[in-house]
Amino acid sequence: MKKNWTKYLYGTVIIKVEGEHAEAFLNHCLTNGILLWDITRKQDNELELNMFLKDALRIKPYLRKSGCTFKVQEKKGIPFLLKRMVKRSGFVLGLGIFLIIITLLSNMVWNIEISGAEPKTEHRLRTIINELGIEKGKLLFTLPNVRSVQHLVTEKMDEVTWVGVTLEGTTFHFRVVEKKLPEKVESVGPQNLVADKKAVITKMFIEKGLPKVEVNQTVQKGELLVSGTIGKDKNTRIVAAKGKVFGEVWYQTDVTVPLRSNYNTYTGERTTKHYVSLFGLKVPVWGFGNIDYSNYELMLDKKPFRFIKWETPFSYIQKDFLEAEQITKSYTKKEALAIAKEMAREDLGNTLDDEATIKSGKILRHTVDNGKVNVSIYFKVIENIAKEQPIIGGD
Amino acid sequence: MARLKHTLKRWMTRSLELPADVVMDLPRITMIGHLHIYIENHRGLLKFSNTELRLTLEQGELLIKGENFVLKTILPEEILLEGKIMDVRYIDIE
Repeated sequence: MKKNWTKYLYGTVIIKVEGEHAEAFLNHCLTNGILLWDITRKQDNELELNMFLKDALRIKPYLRKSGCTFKVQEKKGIPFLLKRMVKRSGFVLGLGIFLIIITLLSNMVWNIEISGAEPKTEHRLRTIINELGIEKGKLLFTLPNVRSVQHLVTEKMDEVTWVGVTLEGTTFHFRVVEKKLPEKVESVGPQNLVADKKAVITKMFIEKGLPKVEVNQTVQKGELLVSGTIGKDKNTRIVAAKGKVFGEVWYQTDVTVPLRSNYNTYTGERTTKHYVSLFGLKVPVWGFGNIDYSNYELMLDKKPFRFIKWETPFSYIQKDFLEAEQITKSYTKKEALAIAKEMAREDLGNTLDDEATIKSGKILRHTVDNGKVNVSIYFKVIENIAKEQPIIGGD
Repeated sequence: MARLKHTLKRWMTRSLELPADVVMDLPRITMIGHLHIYIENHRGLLKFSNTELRLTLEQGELLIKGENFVLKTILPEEILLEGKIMDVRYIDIE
């Protein structure tokens, strides 16, 4: 006996055979290799039997030989289903269009949500997002992936610290963390200004208070610069001393520069390959051939194909091969020292505030070992050395 | 001549202990209770109805009687009959 699914696949018919010599018809079928099953006698001269659709087309001569007639009772299986489908092509077409529409809609941007942003920032973010092409109704395939969106948006928005981008179904979520600049708290209590570090004073701008030092005077750390106690004898008052005292401060910075350094750069050459992935099996669609770069970096961009809320096993994969070049740079000692100085200056500049200026740098000493140059540099910096110190209690 | 062949075959099954159905083209009938009957080595149908099945054999005929007969499978040399089997009888054998 064949399995039921093969019967279903090939299609079967139930037919009624009418005639005096139905048994003869059965024998003809037997000798000619026509499979029959579930044969029952309905009436005295009527048999009901099952056979394959393909066999049913060959029984005519045997019927004639045995003097029988036949009637088809029932049709089962895929061939008939297909036939019906063709007959009802409008319905099938509608079903197909419905599925296509649903899949298209499942792969569209439906909503853009922004949280944590002030109205002004939100407006700016929305314009930037629009510039990137993220709009309601856009297909997800045509958009850059979430990671690069996050990168681009964070780069373009100076006023925010961080933008988190996630894609949940058909909604883009932007979580914004705004930069909160600390507000300067004006201390109102009575205070003196003292030196923050050892320095030679170069300039003084006193708004309030009595200066206790002069230009070109060397001050130690903690020394009183501007007193909050003003007036003489009976008229003394204690106020909050305010002002800026610029002094020349020395900084020592140690920098290490390797004489040889390797780093990777992109040559700008790239090859892009496109794949359609099904259950992890990647089928190349565009971009064939081998990558003939000896050195490259691979960027993978995977876009799943969604259906309603599920991710289908289909996805679109784009692989970018960026040709990379390893460059070895070697410096002479002289060059290394110049670079070290530049680096040190930059390092220092990052730690100093905006008012400070680096006046000059001087290499104190340098040593070369293990292919590295260790340099100690002395910098002369002019910066505000005044620090508030509250006056506690009155005397 | 045919008679001689027949006697020879009969002698072979007896003395060489060969299965009779193979050597002599006899039907092999398997029954499962009264529900199924499975007949191999038949030579075609003579009559089939709800209560009766008649088969041609190499020698003579086989008559099966019962109720609610359905021919589940029918192949050139095999038949599987389902129903309530009450009587199995050989007709016209020597």
